[in-house]
Amino acid sequence: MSSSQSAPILSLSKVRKSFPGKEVLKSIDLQIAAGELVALVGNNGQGKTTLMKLVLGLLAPDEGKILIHGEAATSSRTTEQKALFGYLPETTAFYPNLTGQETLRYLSSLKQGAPSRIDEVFAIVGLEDAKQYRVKTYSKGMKQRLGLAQALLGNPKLLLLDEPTNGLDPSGIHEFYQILSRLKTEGVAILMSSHLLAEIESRADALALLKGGVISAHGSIDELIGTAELPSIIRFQKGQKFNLKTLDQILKQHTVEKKYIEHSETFVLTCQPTNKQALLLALLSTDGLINKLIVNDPGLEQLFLQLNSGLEIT
Amino acid sequence: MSTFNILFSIARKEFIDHLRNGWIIAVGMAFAIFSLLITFVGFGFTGAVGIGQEQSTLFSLINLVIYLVPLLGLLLSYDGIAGEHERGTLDLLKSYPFNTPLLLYGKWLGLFMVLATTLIVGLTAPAAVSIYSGHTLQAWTLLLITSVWLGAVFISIAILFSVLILDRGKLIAIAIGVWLLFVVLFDLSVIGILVSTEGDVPMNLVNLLFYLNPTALYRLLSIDLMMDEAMIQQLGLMGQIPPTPTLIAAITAWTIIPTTIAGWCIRTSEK
Repeated sequence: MSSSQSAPILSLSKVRKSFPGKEVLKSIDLQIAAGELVALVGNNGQGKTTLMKLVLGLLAPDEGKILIHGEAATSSRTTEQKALFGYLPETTAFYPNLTGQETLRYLSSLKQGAPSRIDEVFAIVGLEDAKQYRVKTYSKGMKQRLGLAQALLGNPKLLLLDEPTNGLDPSGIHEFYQILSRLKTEGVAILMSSHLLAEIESRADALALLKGGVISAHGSIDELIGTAELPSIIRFQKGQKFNLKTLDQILKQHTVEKKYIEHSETFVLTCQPTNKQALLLALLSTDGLINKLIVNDPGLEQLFLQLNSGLEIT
Repeated sequence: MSTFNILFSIARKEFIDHLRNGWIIAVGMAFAIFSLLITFVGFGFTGAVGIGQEQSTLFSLINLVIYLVPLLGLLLSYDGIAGEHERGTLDLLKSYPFNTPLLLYGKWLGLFMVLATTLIVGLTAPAAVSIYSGHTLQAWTLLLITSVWLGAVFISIAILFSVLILDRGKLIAIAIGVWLLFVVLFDLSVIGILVSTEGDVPMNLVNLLFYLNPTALYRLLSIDLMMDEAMIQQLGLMGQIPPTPTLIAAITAWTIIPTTIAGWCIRTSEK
């Protein structure tokens, strides 16, 4: 990666934004490099959409600095800066009486993009067969694809996607992330808000958690999970030679608490990552003690719940 | 060059949208029926007061325009910007690489084209009947131009409110309020003042009041351009109509000022 590619496309420093009676963002620091997908997560009302609008220049920050491609952004974006953006708002109904093709032709002319790009983006989002139909006949998922298509017009360098997979079916979601993956390899930086943690987990390069007006956690998901020292959940059933005394002895040695779920005859153990390997070894090496072992390592959902509200799931 | 491309793209989209939703055909046909009725019936002025048939028909049509065209302009445009806001496309378009006031000017142009087409549809049939009966094309052309212009004033007013208040429910109420104010209440208020003072009001003040109402300006301009001396005499307006350039300048101001304020508002709303 060259130095220009690794320089952040977007950089926010101590950005603050308040509305009458509410300080939504207190101090936001965030950087996104070319080819990076950053997932912006947080509960409703934490300011994810506000943050995107600040980047786009639809709102002006009260304080702080926003740099786009290293250039300081004033309260309004220049047309050159706007040309770097591709934006997909949370909900967009478009124009029901226009066809998909007319819609993109219209929006492409406003982006001053090449008309040849229109067919290209239709192919990218898989709407080629529906481009002649009026938008009022589109399903929610098709409208979402059309929204993504318009965001891709004009070859943007920074995509801002506000809950982009809302309304997409599972295959649509899969295709959507394939598109994002391709764009990343082309050096497009992506800031995407989402509540669908399972989707993000294996796809985002970094996570930024918005909580209380600040980015309370930022980094790669693996790093954050590692730092948070989230417990692994181990489930098993009694083996043929099960002995409660032996089990209690092992658990005592590894300072692990057990919980027994009677109706499924399942034991549930919660252990720290540092203990996990030794505990599993001890359980498995005792002949016939356990059966049907399932190990759940901590995931993004656990991380989110812990970081966001201090809750733990078992 | 690209500024004009953007402007015409927005105007074209607006026109196609209204053509497809049936607005132009439905309203144009309704206007045509009213106009034809007036043309055929002649409103009872004919003969009784000694004024020519074409003059009386045109005068009746001017009154029809005063009632209907401001309402058409307002209903056509009241959600111009608020509609984009509700669809979620306003923020999207504001993020696009063009100056946001162009969105507003392009919309204005598109809505103007819609209204002009509607009025052409509405006035073609009565004009054809009149011209077939041996009357001139000139008066009808002037009626069309001034009517479209009156509509343009109300498109400007509606777009200004649409930028200021992004709520369609409130905007429809405001549109009807604006129509009532300029078309009904204003004239009634002026008559009220004249009656209550038994006409003891300086004529200059009354003339000045007319500049506050674009429909009053339209009425004076239309009479000035289309009516002959006998009709103007009959209407009691001989020597009372301000000079034509003054009326044109005043209506131009009513068209430009609201749109300019709207452009300024949409630019500052980005902050």
